[in-house]
Amino acid sequence: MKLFYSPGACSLACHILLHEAGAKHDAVPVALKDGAQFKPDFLAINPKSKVPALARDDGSVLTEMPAISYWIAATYPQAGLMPKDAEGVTRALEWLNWMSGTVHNGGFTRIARAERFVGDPAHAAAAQEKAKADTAKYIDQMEERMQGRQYALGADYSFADPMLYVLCRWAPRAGKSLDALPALAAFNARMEARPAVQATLKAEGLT
Amino acid sequence: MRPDSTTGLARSQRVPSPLVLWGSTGTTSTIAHMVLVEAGADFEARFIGLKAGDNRRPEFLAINPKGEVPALVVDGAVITETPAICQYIAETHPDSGLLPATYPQRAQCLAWLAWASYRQAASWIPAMLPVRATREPAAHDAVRACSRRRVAKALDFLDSALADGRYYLMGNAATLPDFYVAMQLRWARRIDVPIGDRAGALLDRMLARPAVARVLAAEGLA
Repeated sequence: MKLFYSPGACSLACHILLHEAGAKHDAVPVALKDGAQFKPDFLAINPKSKVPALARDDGSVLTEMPAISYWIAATYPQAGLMPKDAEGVTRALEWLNWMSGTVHNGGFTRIARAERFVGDPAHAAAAQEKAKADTAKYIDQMEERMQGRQYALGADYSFADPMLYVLCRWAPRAGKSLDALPALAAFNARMEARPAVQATLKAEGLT
Repeated sequence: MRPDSTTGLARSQRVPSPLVLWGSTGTTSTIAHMVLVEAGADFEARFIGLKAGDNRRPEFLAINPKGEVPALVVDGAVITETPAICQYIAETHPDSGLLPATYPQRAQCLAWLAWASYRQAASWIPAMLPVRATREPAAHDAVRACSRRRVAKALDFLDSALADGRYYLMGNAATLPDFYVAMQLRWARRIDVPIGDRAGALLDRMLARPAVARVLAAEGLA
């Protein structure tokens, strides 16, 4: 099994889950800054030109962070990443979809690539400012939802947590410091105390 | 929050049904609505007006603090996010066939839902509502233009995924993401982004489903 990733990107969430599951894998970095994701070698793996992509042992490739996260949880039940009932699974997907669709792509991506959304560079600064304000609001919502919770679903760790951790790492890009967000700061510390998280950060060269 | 007067869906039910879908006509909540009907679920649909700002009123924020539709109320608990709602309906109505049978296929199915959902946020929404990208009215035409290009790129990918002749995204049976993509194809037509032949055939197949036709009619979109 091969995970195609970029250090610190949302692929980090899937990478952490592979470590949590104790799944044997090779982690293959894709140099997004050099445009490696648009080159034929990578397009043959993921025509969408995105990380993460997981090439499984049967040769099939799975894409999309929420789907890969779900698959790892479903495939390695002993790791305890999959909630036990439909309600829990749904809640984990609810978190992941919001984090991926709204916070990441509807927020952080607009901060990073404001000009792509407005076309005209003259308008990029205003668009980026709005993107930052929107994203900061999403982070406040994360803080609110984490009140009194150890993990995204409450007391139990699940396949939704690593992405929440990735977003905590990105918060400063939206002008938000975890110092002012006690619930997220506690969650972040809890995550960084996990051996699987430490091993993954090391593997991605982030420590 | 007034129920939408253009629909008469299930509002007259005397006994409250266990599932309540909060939606707004012609939005991503329409996808959840279609999936509920397709699954044969017992539910009540309540519509709010986004243009009227109903989603920002305290009564609705008490249901979904994100101020978004759809929201599905299940025994007093609220589920949000279209893919999560769809997955919940499919898992609790296993006879509906809305999910593939095995885990690898279910993950693939979820990959399509996640793809559709983030494309919706990054491409379809700004193409239709450029104010979400920037408040500067002078930039709105440019936002529309680059968002339309991203929609076109997403549709190219969709058409190439259907190149092996499959009828639906996961093969020969309609599953959850087909409903999402069907709505996106309708929206693409509305914003004048051409859709490929295979995607067009998928849309026609979806529109021919009684559940889809019924919901489009109920929401005044037919």
